[in-house]
Amino acid sequence: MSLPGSYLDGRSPVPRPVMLERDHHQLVFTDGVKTHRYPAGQVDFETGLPGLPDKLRLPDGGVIEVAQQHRCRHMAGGPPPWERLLAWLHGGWTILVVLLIATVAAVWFAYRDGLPWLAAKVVRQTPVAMEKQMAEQTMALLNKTVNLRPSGLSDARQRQLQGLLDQVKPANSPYHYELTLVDSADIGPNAFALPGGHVLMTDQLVRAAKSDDEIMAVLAHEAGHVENRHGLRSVVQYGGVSLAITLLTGDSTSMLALAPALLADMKYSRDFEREADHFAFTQLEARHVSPCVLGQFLQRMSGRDDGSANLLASHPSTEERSHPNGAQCPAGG
Amino acid sequence: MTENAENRIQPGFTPSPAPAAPPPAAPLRFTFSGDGAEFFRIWFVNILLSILTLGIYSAWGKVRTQKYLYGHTRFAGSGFDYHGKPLAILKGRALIVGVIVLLAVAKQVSPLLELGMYLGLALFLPWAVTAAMRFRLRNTSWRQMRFNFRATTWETSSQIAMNIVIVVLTLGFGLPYARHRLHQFLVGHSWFGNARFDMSRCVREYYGVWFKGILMAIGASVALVVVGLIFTFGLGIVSGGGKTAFGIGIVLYVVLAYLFLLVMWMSVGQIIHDGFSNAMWNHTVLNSDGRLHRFQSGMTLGGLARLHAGNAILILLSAGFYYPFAKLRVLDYRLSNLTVFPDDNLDAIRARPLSDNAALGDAAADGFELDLGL
Repeated sequence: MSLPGSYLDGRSPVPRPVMLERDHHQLVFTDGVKTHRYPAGQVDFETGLPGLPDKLRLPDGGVIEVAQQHRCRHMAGGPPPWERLLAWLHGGWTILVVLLIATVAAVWFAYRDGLPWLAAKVVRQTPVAMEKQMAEQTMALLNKTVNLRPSGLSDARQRQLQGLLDQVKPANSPYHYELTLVDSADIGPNAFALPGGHVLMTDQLVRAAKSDDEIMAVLAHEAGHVENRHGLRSVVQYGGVSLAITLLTGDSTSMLALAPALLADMKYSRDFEREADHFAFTQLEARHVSPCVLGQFLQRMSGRDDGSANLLASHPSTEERSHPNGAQCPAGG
Repeated sequence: MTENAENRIQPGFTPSPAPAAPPPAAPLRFTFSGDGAEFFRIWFVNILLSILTLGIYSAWGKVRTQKYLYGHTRFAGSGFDYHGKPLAILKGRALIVGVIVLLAVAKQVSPLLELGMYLGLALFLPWAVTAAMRFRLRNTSWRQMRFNFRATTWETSSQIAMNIVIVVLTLGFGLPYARHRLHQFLVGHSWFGNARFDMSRCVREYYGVWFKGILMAIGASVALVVVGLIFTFGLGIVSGGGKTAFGIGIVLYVVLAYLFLLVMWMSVGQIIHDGFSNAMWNHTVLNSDGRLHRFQSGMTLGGLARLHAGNAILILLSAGFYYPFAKLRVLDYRLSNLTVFPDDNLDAIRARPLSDNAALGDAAADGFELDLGL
């Protein structure tokens, strides 16, 4: 049993036709000048890609090319399993379609559940002090970009509102809650939670509320953001999506790459709002306040045309909020 | 190859049994034998498996891609071979991902740290370029003979630094000159066995390519504006003042103009890049003990423009899926235009005997791979 091959010694670019033979545990061939013998165990097989010859790599840097139709690889027991798997994956169009579907499903799953789960895990390991530092940076940026004036509300009223915030926080919270009231026509009636327990609320919102229950509902919603550490989680999740896009396309600055990142961010932000709502519903119910108040108040705000869209951008639908924890709320507000 | 050369009967010659002088060797051609469908599968499986394995497969995919492309690049009938190891490539990629993540973190922490990181990166770049060139050439072989890149990191650093200074000081007009310098440096330090590549000066040709490429882009832009004006006037007459038809026409024109600019943006750089390579090959020789094997490349700017613009359009129309076919078309065009005129024959080239720093060299060859698009 012998195979025709082409021998290159690695020292000169002159191919020599040879006949390969197996003599017990040795590979034997004659290049016309001398007979070469190599222990079969020291010869590396390399299966050729489509259209390319198989290669037998010799320990001294030489190589023997054998045309694929001789299936020299298969005489030595065939390629290793992973090589066979790769050849199978590259073998046809059907498997390519299956692989495509599997990949799309995997990406969808990673985006919907994988990344949020990972972010929550990472965030659990992060000290509260780091969140405070993040909040300071955000606050500095806010002060630079929008017009914030000190609140026009009386100290007593401010203390009362701080009391509302302290009421809706869970008893075992690691956060120290601090409410800052500001007067800002730029922002309009709105409230933000910064990571670390700092809640910012505008006078405009306080004035728009018909009762303290409504303010408490909003504060409970913001406390939900703080307790679930949404600030940090959104940073990690946005970073994860951007990194994935950068690695895939080699570019994270172009509009084409930015669009999916922004879309993903909006979806995550809706999920956070839903989580904060859920937290607020639970807290309100525990204080015998109807959870419907939150949805009604927000709906009233969204009907107004004075920049209150901030609070509602990328939020769950009002429809969803009118069914807190599955309950049916009375219409109107 | 040599058999071929010696057996060829020259027109007007009667072959004599014992020629006094060796006959002039016939030109040797490059060809490409890859198949579009095969390569598409390699490309697409690479993308999908890379996503599924969080990027780890990309190193194996790169080796498969390179082996396929190198193996089907044939010179004088024999394919090239790629010897890069997936783990070395994975190391290089892990390094790049690490740098990206560190930069992102530094950006969050403090701008000063970010600046420091960029400075460190600038110092690291020349070393990376040298290592990448070395990796690429040492892992390339033809007929089991390795290529090599033999320049020290210091030589490469000063070369790159000078080129940046030239481009900045000349406000970009020195770019062809800087490219020419870089090519001369890279070619001049490349080896095949014991034969050394060498490139003679041809700055004038680099400028020719550059100016023609830019003129082409300007000409196409002017044509776009002229066509736009004619179109708008024509539309105004045809629509007879109807606002909707006119508006739709304008939107259509803006979309087409945007696509046109995108195609131009995608192709002009490549046309100039290949134009430079064309000039480079035409001034490159392989010097084997004083025998000079000459290269000739017959790419034309018109041919390149058709090739790259056509590819850009098809890639856009196919949402990127034409990319692997485009890549093969480019390779085929480049290779089918490249010829070697050997002085005597190439068989005299020998592998370089192992020198004392061979061990170090091998370690560097196994070091890591970086895609720098040189």
